[in-house]
Amino acid sequence: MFTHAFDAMGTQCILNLQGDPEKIAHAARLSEQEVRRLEQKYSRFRDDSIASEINHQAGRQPVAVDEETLALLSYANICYQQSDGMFDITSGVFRRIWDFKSGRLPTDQQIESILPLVSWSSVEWSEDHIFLPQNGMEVDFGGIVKEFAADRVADLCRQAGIEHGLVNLGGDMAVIGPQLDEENDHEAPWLIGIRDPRSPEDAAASIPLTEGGLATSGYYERFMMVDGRRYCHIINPKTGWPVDWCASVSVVSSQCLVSGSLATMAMLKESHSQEWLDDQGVPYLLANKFNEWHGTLKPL
Amino acid sequence: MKNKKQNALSALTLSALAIPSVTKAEVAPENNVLSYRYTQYEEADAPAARVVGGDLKRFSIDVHQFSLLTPFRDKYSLKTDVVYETLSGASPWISQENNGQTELFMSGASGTGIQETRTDISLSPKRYFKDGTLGGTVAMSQENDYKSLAVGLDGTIEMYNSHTTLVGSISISNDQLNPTDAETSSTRAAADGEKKQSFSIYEGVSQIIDKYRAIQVGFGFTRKTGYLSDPYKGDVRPDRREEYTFTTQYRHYVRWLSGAGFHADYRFYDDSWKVRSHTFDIALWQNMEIFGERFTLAPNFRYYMQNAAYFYSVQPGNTSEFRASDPRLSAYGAITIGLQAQYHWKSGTVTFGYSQYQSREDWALIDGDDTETPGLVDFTTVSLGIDYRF
Repeated sequence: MFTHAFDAMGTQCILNLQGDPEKIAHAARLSEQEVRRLEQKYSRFRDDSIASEINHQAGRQPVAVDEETLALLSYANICYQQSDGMFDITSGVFRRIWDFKSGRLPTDQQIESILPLVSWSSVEWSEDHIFLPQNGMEVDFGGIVKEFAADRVADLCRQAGIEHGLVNLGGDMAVIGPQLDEENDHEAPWLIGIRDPRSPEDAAASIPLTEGGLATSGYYERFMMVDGRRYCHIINPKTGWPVDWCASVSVVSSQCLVSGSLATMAMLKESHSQEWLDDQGVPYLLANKFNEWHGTLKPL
Repeated sequence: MKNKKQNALSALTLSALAIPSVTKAEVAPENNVLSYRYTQYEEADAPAARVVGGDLKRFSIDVHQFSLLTPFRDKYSLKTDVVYETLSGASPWISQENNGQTELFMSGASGTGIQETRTDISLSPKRYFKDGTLGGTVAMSQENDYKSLAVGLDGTIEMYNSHTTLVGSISISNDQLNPTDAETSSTRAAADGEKKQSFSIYEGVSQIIDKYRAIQVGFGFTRKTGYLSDPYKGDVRPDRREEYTFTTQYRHYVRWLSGAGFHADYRFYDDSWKVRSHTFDIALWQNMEIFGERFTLAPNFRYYMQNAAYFYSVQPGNTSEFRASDPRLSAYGAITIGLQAQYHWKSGTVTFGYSQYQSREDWALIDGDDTETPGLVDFTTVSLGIDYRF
């Protein structure tokens, strides 16, 4: 087993690869390049990213988009439709009033002032451009790009001839192929630990995974406690207030990107999340704030 | 509403699958690549009925090419090429008309044909940037009657997520002639010590249309000045030639067997000697796997046609300012049919190639004239090569 670890996209990226050392070295290099390419292209923290360009031109002029960006925007649009407007890539602007390091809640006035800027439906976009109609609006690819990158890296590794491996981009997992045991003659699933929302350094469950992608959304990722109450980073775009029903949602599907979006949408569904996930017919594991666990994913 | 929610998984999955796979920018090579290729070029014998003097046997060339590509310091590569050629045989240098049919004199008395060697050495360093490349070339070539030095610069710029690439190059060369046996003819003596220069520029853009299709179009200009005649043929040609080319290359990937690439190329050429030509080239690069081993078969077909230079004549008089009887300046058409077969393994490729070239006066089709060109050649090339990565 070869492990290639690097820091990118604000998290730790770990590739576990098995097989021919030459192919592994090649795949690891291509993978890191690809993650860095996507980070550079979509990070809102970088002035030269397409995200920054789009946001900078908000209320001013349309920005040309390439095929890949268009496809990601189309994907985000499907997310918006399928979640009845709850999954909205323009909701990054809540960051301006929700500072999880401050320990202070925003005022109602502050929330009222931000809400009009959260409006994917008002964004004008077509096959070759995107225009945010109001000054101050932002798109944030942060909710999809890391998961997308995990899928892409798994694809690249397969193209490079890797048959056994796991991509882990800060908890977003994409399987290249099942793992080989030490004698290299038996295939076995990868075991993915699901963080315990009450004690995130510990695993609450272990999920076997042989293909596809697994992503988890949790209220422990970024949050603050104010007067004994938890406020997390997933914010309802209609109210401006954080969700507070689900502690953790993990989803498995054919792609890490889809798993991640479904997990976040489930968080936004609050008390309906379990029912909604059941309707999707997708394997999941959900813990609510009372530490009650539900789901069709069977922990080992 | 319920129904729509149930579709979230499939809607998202479909949309996620529609995100295009990314084309990679040209990345610096990671391995050394050592290549050797042997090519044998054999001209068909001249038709005996039309040869009045000299040897029937025409050129035969053996070419040995060595190449080493060395990456260094992550962002650089250096390519070293050495070509060694040995050439033997005779080439026609005078044709005359006799009883309504043109005849050839072959240069070199029977049994004492031309024996020459040529050595080319070139060095091409390249730097790989995030969105492009910058390269250079220094090349030297030496024959017993010819010396050449060329330098060039080339670069690429990738845009729109590498879907569009601008390609450009510029080069200059300086050649010097020292014909053998210069004392035997006035044209050879006149050419002794003569020089020629050339300047070339190429600008192109390649565009990836989608996952399966790509196209490149380009425009080239070359200006040659100096001694442009052939001292062995008694030609007197203008001392300036300006050449324009327009090229398009189309690539279409299809999913036959292990995948295949269909190539269709067209080149238009026009110059100040009034030579205009069209080249059509199609090829299929078919990948296949047989018993777990990987092979590529690549048949190709090329059709070429050109009209004659304005001063071409099969039996030039010596009254006009310029004259030439070189068959390459006549009106003709040519067809090349070839096949390459490759075997790939983990660290290399073995290539076998065969091609047959035939040319005829009347294949020029357009702008054809009635001038005969008995010196046109047919030839066969056979090559065997190996590329090894380490």
